[in-house]
Amino acid sequence: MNKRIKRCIRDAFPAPAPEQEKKLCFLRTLPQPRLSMRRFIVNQAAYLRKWVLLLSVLLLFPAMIGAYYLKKDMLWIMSALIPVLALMAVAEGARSEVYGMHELELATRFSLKSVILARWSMMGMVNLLVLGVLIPLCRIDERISLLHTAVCLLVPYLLTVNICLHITRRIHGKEAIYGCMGAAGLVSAANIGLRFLAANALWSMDTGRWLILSVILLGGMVYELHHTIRQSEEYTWSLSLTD
Amino acid sequence: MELVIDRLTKQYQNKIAVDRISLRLEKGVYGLLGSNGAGKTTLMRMICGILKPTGGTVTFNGMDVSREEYRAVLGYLPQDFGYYPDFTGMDFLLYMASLKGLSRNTARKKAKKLLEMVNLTDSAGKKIRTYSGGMKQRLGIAQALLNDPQIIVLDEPTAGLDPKERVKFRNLIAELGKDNIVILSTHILSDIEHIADVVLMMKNGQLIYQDKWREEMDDLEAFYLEQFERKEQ
Repeated sequence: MNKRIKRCIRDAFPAPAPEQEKKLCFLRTLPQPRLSMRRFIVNQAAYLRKWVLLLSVLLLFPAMIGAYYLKKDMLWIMSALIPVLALMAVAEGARSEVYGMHELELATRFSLKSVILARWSMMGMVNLLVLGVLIPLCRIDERISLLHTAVCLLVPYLLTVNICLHITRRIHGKEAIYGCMGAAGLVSAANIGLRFLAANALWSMDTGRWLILSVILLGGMVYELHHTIRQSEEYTWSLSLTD
Repeated sequence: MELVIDRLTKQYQNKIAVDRISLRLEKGVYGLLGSNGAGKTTLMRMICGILKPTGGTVTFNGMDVSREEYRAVLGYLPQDFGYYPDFTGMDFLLYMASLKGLSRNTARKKAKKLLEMVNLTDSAGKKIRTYSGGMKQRLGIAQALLNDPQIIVLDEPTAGLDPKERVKFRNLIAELGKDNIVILSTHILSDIEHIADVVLMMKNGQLIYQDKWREEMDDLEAFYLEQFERKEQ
C-alpha cells in the first residue's frame, strides 16, 4: 500500500486514545520478563561495598611480601590477619539489619533471604580465591604440607565466622558489628599470643588435630548459616514492636 | 482482585497482638485506625508476609502470602526504614527495583518517573543522608510503587510531609485505590476522611469497626472516639 493511502486511512480513522484503566489492565496481563536467580546474584555484585572487596584482596599483599622476606614468621602473621577476612564477609551479610533495610527487603520479590544468600555467595567466592592464593604463599617450609598450612589458616577463619555469625543472630543493629570486631580482634590476638607463648605451635601441632578442629568449625559454620537464613525469613518480633 | 484475611492471629507469649481478624478486601482505599499498641503495624506486617502469623491465612487471588508471586504484586512502606549510607536517591530506587525483579532498563525508566512524581528529580543524585525526613518519606513512597503493585500497604505514609505534600499524596493514594487494594494506617484522621473508602478500627488486636466511610457521617474524629468509648463500656 502506498504511503499516501496509508496516511489518508490514518487521518480518516484516528486511533482512540488509550483509556488509562484499560491500558493498565492490559499491561498487567502481559508476561513481564522475570529476573532469574542467577541474574539476581550477578546484579547484587554491583551492590557489594567496593572497599570490602578491595580490603579482602589487599590481604594478599602482606602475604606476597612476607613470602620473600619473612619466611618462618609468615604463617602466624597471616593466620593473625585472616580473621579480618572473615569479619568482612559476615559484616557484608549482616548489612541489611545494621542499616535498617531488612524490613523493606523482606517484602520484596527476592526477599532478604535471597539477598543474604547472594552476598554470602559472592563474599564466599572472594574469600575462597584469597585463601586459595594465600595457602601456597604461606607454605613456609617444604617439610610442612600444604594441608597443614591450609588448616592453620582455616581454623582462625572459621572460628571468627562462627563467633561473628552467632553474634549477628543474637544482637541486632550496629552493636552486632562492634561485637564481631571484638571477636575478630580476640582471635587475632590469640594467634599472636600463641606465637609468643610457643614459637613453633602452628607448624608443630599435629595436622590431624588441626583437621578435626577445622571440620568441627566447618560444621558449626553450616549450623550458624542455616539458622541465620531461617531467622532472615521473618521479621524479629517482640512486644515492643507492636506499634 | 481479592485479598482475603482469614482469622489472622499473632500471639507472642501471653500477649495477643492481633486477634482473629477476618477481612475480604477488594479494590479501594482502606484506612486503618487505632491507638498505639492496637496491633495495626503487626497486622500490616502479616499482610506483607514479613511476620508469620500464629494462626490464620492471608491470600491474594488464592495466592498465599508466603509465595514469591504474592510479594511480586506487593508494595510496602514501613513506618521506619533505613538506607545504606553510600546510596543516592536513584541508587536506592535501582537497588529496590533489583530486589523486586525489575530489569535494569525498566528499573531506570520507572525510577526516573517515580522520582519526578515525588518531586525528587533534582535530589536524585544526592546521598540519602543529606535528605530531610519528608524527602526520605517521599523516597519510601516511590520505592513502594516501583513494581506497579496491586496490594499497597502504607504504614503512616504522610508522616513528616508538609501540608502541600500531604494533599498531593492523599490524591495519589486515592488514584491508586481505583485500580488496587490500598491499606493505609495513619493517626491523621483527615487523611482517612478524605480518601478512605472503608474505615477499619482496631483496639487491643481486634477489629472493632469496619464499614464504608460516607461524607454524611460527618466528623470522623468524633465517630472514632465514640467507637472506642462504646467498646470500653
